[in-house]
Amino acid sequence: MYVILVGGGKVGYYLTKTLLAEGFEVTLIEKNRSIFEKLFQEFKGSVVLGDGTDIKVLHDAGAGRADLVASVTGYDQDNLVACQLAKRKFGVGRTIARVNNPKNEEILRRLGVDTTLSSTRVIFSLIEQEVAHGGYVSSLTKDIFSNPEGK
Amino acid sequence: MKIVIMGCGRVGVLLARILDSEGHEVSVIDRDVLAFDDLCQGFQGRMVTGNGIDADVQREAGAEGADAFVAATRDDNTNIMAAQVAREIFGIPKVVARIYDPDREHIFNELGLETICPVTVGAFQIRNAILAGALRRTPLEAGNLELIETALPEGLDGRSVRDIQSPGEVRVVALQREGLSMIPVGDTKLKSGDVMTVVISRDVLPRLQAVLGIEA
Repeated sequence: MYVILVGGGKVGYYLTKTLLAEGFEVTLIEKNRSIFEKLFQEFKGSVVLGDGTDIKVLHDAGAGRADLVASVTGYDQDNLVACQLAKRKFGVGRTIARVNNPKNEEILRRLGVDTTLSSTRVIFSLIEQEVAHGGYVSSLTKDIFSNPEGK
Repeated sequence: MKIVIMGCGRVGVLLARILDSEGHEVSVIDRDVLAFDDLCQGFQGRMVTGNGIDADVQREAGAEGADAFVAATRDDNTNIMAAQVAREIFGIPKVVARIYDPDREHIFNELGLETICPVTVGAFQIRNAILAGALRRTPLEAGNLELIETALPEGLDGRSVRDIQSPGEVRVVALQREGLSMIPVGDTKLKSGDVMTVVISRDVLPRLQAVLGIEA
């Protein structure tokens, strides 16, 4: 299984590390030179310098034979374009986009991204569940009662 | 027309001013409130501060019910995404995205976005300016057809338009002669000095240049 990751921030870094440890073939694309150099010291040939929304860069990274492309930059527009190019230009079977503004999740899916993931949305749902089950309220009241002076 | 423009840079400002002065209902989106400084004098339209890829910001700028949307920030991907939001979410009938990278422009154009690549347009215009004696080349937006314009060299005086044409590849669509212009037929005789406008498939351009004896 060959995976291309776009964006070498924290998410991209830990994903690469985890996937490599699990034995996946991975290429991480990072466009900032100084970030690339740090990543290169650790990942060597598994990281390339370039813009993952550039057709030539995707081509050279082997997008044509990739099973999956995950774009995890901090910019929804870049993640959308990387996934659209992967899918429509290189015929990649599965695309995943990190979504920063949760309102963009539905839009990216409508525009052809297979899977979207918004950590804001995930954490928000967890908080909502917590409130719905009374967990948040009860732990707060418990805290007030067990520590009335607020120490 | 009701028109939303994203990006208040040089192109956005000029476009907004032109459309506004023509009486269109214009609203302009930019992330930077200072960008509107260049617009203010006499501009009747709306100015919305925010990120134009955000559907809420587009809605605030009047995307619902707009007739046209223009994505003209300096970031290609922002323009590509905003244009698709305008088209898919708000169903705006006319959406145009400016894309600097010719390769990216080409693929998103194939995928159905209406795109303008200032790099390609500019390069061909500069080429035409420095090679004044040669063919003027203007690529058509999609595919590999070009519109070329050239003065007929003397050697071809008296030949028919048919001699230059080739079905599906080369067609002479206009002739300019002595201050008049006409749409020629196959039998039309050419005169040296005629300025021909030709639609041509890019692949056979060298062949036409050979026939006309004009360098590239």
